[in-house]
Amino acid sequence: MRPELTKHTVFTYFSGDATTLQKQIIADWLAEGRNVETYFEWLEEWERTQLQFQPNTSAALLAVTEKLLREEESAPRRLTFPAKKAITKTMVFWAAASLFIAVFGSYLGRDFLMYRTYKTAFGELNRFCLDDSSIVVLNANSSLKVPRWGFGKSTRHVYLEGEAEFSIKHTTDHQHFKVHNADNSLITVLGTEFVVYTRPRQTNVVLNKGKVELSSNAGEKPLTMLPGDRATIEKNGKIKVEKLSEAQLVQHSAWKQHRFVFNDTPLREVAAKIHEVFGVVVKINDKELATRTATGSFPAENAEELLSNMSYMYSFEIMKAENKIILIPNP
Amino acid sequence: MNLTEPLREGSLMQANSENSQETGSDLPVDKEFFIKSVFQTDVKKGYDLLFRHYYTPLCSHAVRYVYSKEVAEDIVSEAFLSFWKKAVHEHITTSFRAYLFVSVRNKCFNYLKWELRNEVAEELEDATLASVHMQPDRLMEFDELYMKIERIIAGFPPQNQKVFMMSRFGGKSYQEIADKLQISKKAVEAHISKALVELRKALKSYHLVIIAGLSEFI
Repeated sequence: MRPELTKHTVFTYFSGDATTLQKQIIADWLAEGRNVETYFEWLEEWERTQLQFQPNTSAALLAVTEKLLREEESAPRRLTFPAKKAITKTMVFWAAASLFIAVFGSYLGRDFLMYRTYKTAFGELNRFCLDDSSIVVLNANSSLKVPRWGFGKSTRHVYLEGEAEFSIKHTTDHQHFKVHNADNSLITVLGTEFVVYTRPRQTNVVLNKGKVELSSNAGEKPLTMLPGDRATIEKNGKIKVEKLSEAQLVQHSAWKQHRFVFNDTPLREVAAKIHEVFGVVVKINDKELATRTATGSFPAENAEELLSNMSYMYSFEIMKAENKIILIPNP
Repeated sequence: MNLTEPLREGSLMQANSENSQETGSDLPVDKEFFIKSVFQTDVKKGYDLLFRHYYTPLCSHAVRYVYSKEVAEDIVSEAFLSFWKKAVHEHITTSFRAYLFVSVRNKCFNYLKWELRNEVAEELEDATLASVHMQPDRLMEFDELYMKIERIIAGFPPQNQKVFMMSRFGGKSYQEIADKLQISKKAVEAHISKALVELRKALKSYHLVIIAGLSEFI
């Protein structure tokens, strides 16, 4: 005779305290299709009584909604219809709008329809998965373009502007993964982990694991990088390689934890970095101050935080003008 | 139901109690039906309601697998994004609840596989509408997985466990942990490394049996 299965039993099971006997009863119970829905109802209820933490739902919803809007903007593929019942005025409007956008979109360029673009705003980090399960962490003020179709069929191509860390999954058919950088240099990998920095002033690649082939647009022989290598592409297209220590390697991914790492970095460069990541203009009118160097690891989620963290150590004061920050040396 | 007919109290009440017995609890069922009906007239509103109702319990469930609040929230947000992009509400045959839980569990599994570099188990497809992932033994395997993770972490030596939790759950940086516990940053790294090795070892022998030829069922 089978004992009654109650919600209490299942709650005990979810808590990890069920006996083998009870687990068997639950297994039998689940075998009846309609009980699966009840299982999930009880799972939801149990979770609510045992919440492991309280996230900020409104903020999350806002972030998700913004992301959806951004993606609709960069590629309006499907506009959802509000009502299925009758053809409303709204439906007609959306039909006309989507037709207009489709035509306008294809006029503006294949980009909108052919590629999906991941973008980050100033000061924002974004971590996401590609269709091949590779993981990308995109630093602030950056964009990654991925083809909507054909990605993973023969080769995987992506187009990066800004900074990102890649953990590329090695596919069973040994497909190459190619990162096209802002300066038209090209990184070819099979499966590996590396960080790419590609902005107007420079492109460099730091390899954590695996093997990577880097070719610049100067048409030189491609360079094979090994773990711990940092390759910098100079203005003339030549590639310079240096080996990094463990500590230096970690520094190159510090941005993932919202940290800035400087090594004898002149404040002038710090200002440039702030502009890149946060979009804030920082002016240093004093020549001596601009050449003062900073060393260390600073946590910061925005420009003000970073600068105030550094102000004491490097003896400067922060003044805010209309849309920029001015640094003044502290005598 | 014909509105001109007088309502028969008896039958209505009976129907309600049958409902309760089968499902075991009134409130969650009502909310599901309510959200489903909102989707009929206003998709965006339905989506908002869906998100607000399920986000918290889903995050709580996800963190049992990945132990990081940030990753858990990322995963749940991704599940909702997928839901929208695939317009799941248009073709769904199960409850939103069931679909979302399965979707989140699959993503947690994929994350763990990536993080622990478990070569043995295969990747899981995003939740399909054919409910292949709702087979009883699969459901219980996922349950066993988070319970096992909890046991492993509970079994860490105290200092090890403390460092691991501060890093993953607390989201603290290695430097912050080092400062707080008055140990070197290298020691923190060593603790985390050891914790991951232990997790990797324990979960490696834990296969999630994948139903071969999943795609046939879609």
